[in-house]
Amino acid sequence: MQITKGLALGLVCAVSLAAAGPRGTVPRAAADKYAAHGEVHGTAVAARLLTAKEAAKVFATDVDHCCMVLEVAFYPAKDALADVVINEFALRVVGEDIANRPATAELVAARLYRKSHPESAGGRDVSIQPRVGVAYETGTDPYTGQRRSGTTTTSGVDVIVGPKQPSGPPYQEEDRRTMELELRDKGLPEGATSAPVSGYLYFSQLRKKNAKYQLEYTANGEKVVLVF
Amino acid sequence: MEVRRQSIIFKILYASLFLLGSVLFGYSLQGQTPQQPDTSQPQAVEQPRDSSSASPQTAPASQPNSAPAQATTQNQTPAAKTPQNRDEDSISRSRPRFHVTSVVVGGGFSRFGRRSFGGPFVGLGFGYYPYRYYSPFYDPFYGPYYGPYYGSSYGPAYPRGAYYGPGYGRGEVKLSIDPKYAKVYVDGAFAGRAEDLKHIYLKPGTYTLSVQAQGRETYTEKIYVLSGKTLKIKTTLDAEGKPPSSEEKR
Repeated sequence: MQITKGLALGLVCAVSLAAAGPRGTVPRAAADKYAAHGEVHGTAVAARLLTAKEAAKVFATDVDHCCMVLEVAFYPAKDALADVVINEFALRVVGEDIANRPATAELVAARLYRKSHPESAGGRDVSIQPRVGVAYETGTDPYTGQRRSGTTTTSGVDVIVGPKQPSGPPYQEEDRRTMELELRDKGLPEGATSAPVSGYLYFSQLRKKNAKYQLEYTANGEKVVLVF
Repeated sequence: MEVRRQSIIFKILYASLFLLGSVLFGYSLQGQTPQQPDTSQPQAVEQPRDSSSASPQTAPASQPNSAPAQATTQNQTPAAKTPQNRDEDSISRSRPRFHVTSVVVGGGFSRFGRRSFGGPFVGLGFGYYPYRYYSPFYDPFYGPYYGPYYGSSYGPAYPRGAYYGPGYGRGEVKLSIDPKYAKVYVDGAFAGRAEDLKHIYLKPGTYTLSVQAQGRETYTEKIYVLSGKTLKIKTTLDAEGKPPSSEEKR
């Protein structure tokens, strides 16, 4: 009976994970290897906040330009299923009321795509470019009637005011799809699992200096809070 | 007095023509997109030795941020252009966008025979932002002979050379592989030997990069290439049986 139950459990997990495709990252050996960890209904939940530098190293996508990235891992109890629901996460600055739900890969990719297009990026940019010119002129002096020639030198600066320029060329549609794919592939897999899983969560907010953050996860009414 | 009046008329005429020319020039630039020959794609001239190595393999578990296990080839072929999105492309390219974009300030100095003239100049630049800007300036100080002296400048609004560089619209994969005789495959197609292949320019998408050498562990990685970005891959293929060591960074 136990064996049948175990097999059924394994089958459920295998089907749920296979349906989602290979996703996420390789979980660390244990929950305490992460910066913060806690437990909810016997499942250990661990997380760490990636710095902008770390995010830039892990992702080809400039996810650090628009979002905070957290690596989250789940360690279900032995012979138990843990249900990973991404929408049950919330991130807030400690002591503040407003919390953010994780953003989907599509949303993050769309934000980055939009940001790279100067027409829609918003804001103004001012750039200054020097100029120097030398010209030679010749002609008849209208006062004396004599033929004269001379040189003209000019120097100046262009003060160019325009829409805010992105840091690089604008993304193409293929870029958006690739970003979406990367963010989805590396994102935390959702669904029931009996084995440890880990992956990234993206929150559409930029990291404040010296701010403390708390990640909350609610499962069946029970909440675990991880502070970074 | 008559001469001065003529000069002012000439200046106005020059300025009008110059502004008109700038508008036309800006308009003529509209819709020009650089075309790059499709030379950076790896050439499929040799297939991997064994069929198992041609397909993507499990990423090493020791790499915490490596591609997910059992990564399958999900190379994105760009969506076929339908007549509808072709039309949208052409509409978006041909839509004129003229803006006053620059203010020009500076000074000039002229010397003709024994006479010298100098003074400040101020002008407005306009045209074709954000792709190009074109900023004519008009010299207001009085030139006795052929005045008015005028000049112009234009240039790409984007400072990055890569925008119109050899890898335009592509992403760069920089490879640093040891041993040098290792063979590099992209999506199962032979791309070249490590010693000859320092850079690969690929269209945006996902690819499976595989590096093989005789008697060494095969390195396989799913890579995400974005246009204008550089992905650096540094790997050392260890002797078979040893754990692989590799590093991927941007």
